[in-house]
Amino acid sequence: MNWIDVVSAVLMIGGALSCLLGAIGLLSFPDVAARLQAATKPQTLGLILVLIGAAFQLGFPEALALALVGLFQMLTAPIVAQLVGRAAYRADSIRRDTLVIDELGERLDRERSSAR
Amino acid sequence: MSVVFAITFALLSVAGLLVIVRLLRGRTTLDRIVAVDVFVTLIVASACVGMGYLQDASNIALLLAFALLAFIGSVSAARLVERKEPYR
Repeated sequence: MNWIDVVSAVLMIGGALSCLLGAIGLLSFPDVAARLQAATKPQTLGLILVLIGAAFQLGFPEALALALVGLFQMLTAPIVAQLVGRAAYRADSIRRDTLVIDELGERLDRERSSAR
Repeated sequence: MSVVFAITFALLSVAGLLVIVRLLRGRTTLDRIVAVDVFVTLIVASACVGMGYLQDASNIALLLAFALLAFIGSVSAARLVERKEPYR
C-alpha cells in the first residue's frame, strides 16, 4: 500500500461509516423532520468522502466526473429536504411538541388570523 | 487494498439494510420517500467503490443519471403527497 491507497482507504471507510450513521439515524429518529436531518447531512458527507476516495483510485478525468456527482448531490439534497419537509408540515406528520422553534407555524397562524 | 473495499462494501450494505427496514416500516409516505432517496445515495456510493475496485470507470455516466432520476422522483413524489393530503 502506497500513500494514495492509505488516503483513499481512510476516506472510503470514513465515508461508509458516515453513511451508516445516517442510516441508523434514519431508523431511530422519531419523526419526518428529524429523519430528514439524518438523511441529508451524514449521507451527503459520506457520499462525498467515498467519491473522493474512489477518485484517488481512478485518476484525473474520472475524478472530474465523480466531482460532478458529488456537486449534484450537494445541490439536490437540500431541495429534496425542503420539499419533503414542507409536505410533511402540511400533512401534519411532524411532531410539533419536539420543535424548538416553529416559525412556519407562527406565520401560518398569523396569516390565517389576518385573513379572517 | 481489497480488504478496504470489502469493509466499505460491508458498511454500505448494513446501512442499506437499515434503510430498507425504514422503507418497510414507513409510517408515512414521506418517510418512504426519504428512505428511497437515501437508498439511491447508498447505491451510488457503492457503485463508486465498485468502480474503484475494478479500476474501470466506463459506467460513470450511469451514476449521474441515477442521481438525477432519484432527485426528480423524490421531488415529484413529495409534490404529489403535498397536493393529496389536506392543509392541516
